[in-house]
Amino acid sequence: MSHLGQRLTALVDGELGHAERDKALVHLAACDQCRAEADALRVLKRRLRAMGDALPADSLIRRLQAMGEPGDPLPPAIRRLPGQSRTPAPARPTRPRDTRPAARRRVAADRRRRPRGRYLVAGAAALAVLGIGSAAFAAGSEPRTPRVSPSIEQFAVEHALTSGDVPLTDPKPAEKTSDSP
Amino acid sequence: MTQRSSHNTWVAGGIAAALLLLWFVTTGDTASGARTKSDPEALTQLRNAESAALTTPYEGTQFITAWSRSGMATTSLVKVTHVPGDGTRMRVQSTTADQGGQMFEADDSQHAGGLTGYTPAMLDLLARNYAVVRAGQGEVSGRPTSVIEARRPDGTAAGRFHIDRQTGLMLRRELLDQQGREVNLTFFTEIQPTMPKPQVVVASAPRMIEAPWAHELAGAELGSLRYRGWPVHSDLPDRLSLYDARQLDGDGPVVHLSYSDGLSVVSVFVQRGTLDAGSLAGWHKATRGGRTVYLRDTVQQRAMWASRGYVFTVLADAPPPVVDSAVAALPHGETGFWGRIGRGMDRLASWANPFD
Repeated sequence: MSHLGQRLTALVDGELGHAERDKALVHLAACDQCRAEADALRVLKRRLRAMGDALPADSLIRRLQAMGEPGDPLPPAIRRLPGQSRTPAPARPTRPRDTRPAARRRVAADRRRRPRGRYLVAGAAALAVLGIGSAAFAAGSEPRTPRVSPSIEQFAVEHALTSGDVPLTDPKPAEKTSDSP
Repeated sequence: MTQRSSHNTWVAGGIAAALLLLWFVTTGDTASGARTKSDPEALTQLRNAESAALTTPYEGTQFITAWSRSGMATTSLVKVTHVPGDGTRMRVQSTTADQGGQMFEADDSQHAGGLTGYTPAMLDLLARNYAVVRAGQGEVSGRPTSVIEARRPDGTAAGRFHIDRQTGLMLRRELLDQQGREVNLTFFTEIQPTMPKPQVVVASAPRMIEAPWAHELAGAELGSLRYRGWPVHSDLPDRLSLYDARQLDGDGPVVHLSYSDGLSVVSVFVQRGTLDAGSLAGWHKATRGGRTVYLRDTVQQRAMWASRGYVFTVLADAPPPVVDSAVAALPHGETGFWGRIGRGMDRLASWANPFD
C-alpha cells in the first residue's frame, strides 16, 4: 500500500480537491502511519496558530532586556617579555581588592554570571532557527500539480490570430533543401 | 592675449560639442534612432494593407514556408478567398501539410488580422525597433508592388514587404536573419482582386476560426499573476516586448503571452502542472541556449518543457537564434534549496496566520 506522502501536507492545508480529499481520507482510515503523520502535522499547525496569542514569560523578557546592557571589559592581553618561558606563570589575581560596598559587589557578581544566560539564549535561538528551517524545508515541498498535455493545435490557432497569420494545423517537414539557410 | 584665449575657448567648446553629438549618434538609443529614420509614408502603407485586406474582394493561393536551423523547409499552400463584409475562407492544400481542411474567419471577428502577418500593436513595435523605409518597386505574381523594408540599426534588412500598388494588399512578406537569408516567407503565387466565384465561396462546412481567447490580461491582472509566482516577463531578449496577454479560463487555466519586436513573434503558453510524457510523441529532446527542451520544427518553431510546477510551450515565427535566446530567458530547472525554504516559510506563515 503506498502512503500519502506529500499529499498529507496538502490535506492538512485543505488544498486537495473533493475527489483527492475523499481518496486521502479513505486511505487515512486504513493506514495508521499516515494517520499519525496527519495528526502530528495538525498539532504543529495548531501550535503555530496558538503562537500568535501567547505572550512571552516575564523572565524571558527580563533576560532579553539584559542582553542589551554593556558587558564586562575584555581581559588584558598578556605580552611575553624576552627570555620569558612559553609556559605561562601560574595565574595571579591582578584585580585590586574589591573595596566597594557589598551591594555593589553583588551587582558585579550578577554581571559575571550573565554570560552563561547569554549562551543559553543564543543556543535556544540557534535551535529555534534550526527547527524553523527544518520545518520550512519539510513544508516547502513541490505543490502537487496536475499532469498536462499542451493542446498544440489550439495554441497554433491562438498564435496565428494574435499575430495576423494564417492558422495552420500541424504540417510535416519537407525534404532538406540545398538553397535554404 | 585675452582675445586669443577667448578664441581658443570657443574652439575647444565647439570640438567638445561635436564629439558629444557624435557620441549620441553612434552610441545613443538605437530604437529612437530607428524611429527618426522611419519613413511615415512607408508606415502608412503598412497600416493601410491591413484595412485593404478587409475591404478588397480577392481570391488567390498563398505560399507559406519556413526554414529551420538544419535547413529543413516546411511549406503550406493555402487557398484564400475574401468577401468584404463576410469573411476570409482558407483551405489548406496538400504539399507538406499532413492536416488540411477549411477554415473561415469572419470580418467582424474580434481579431481579423487580414493575413498581413502583423497587428497594429506589432506595427508600433516595428516602428520603434527598426527603420521602416520605402525600398523601390517590385513585382509579385505579375503585379507591380511597392517594396518596404524594415532595417536594423546597421542598415541590413530584417524584413521586407511587397504591397500591391493597385489594391494596397500585402502580396509578399519576408523575415530575414542577420546574414540576409530568408527565415519565413509568405507570398501569393496567384491572386485576382475580384469577387470570388459563388461556388468557391459556398464550400463544405469549414472550421470556424474563433476570436482569440476573450479574457485579456490587463496590467493589474498580470501583476497578480506575477505575485502568485507565474513567470510573466515584460520583455525577452532581442528587443521582444510583451504586446498581448490572454488567458483561457477553465479547470487548468492557460496564459498566452505574445512577444514581438515588430517582425518576429514568440508566443509563450504557460500552464500549471507537470508535462505528460504522452504529449511528447513526435518531439525530440535537444539543448537550446544551454537548456534542455523538447522541439518540433513546423511552419513555426516549437519548444516545450516543464519547470518549477509550470509547463511552457513556445510557438515562434522568428530566426532560430532569437527563439533560442527567448527559450533560455524563461525559467528552467527545479526550485533550489533556498527557494524551497522560502516556499515553506510562506506556508508556515499562512498556517500561523489566523486570518489566512
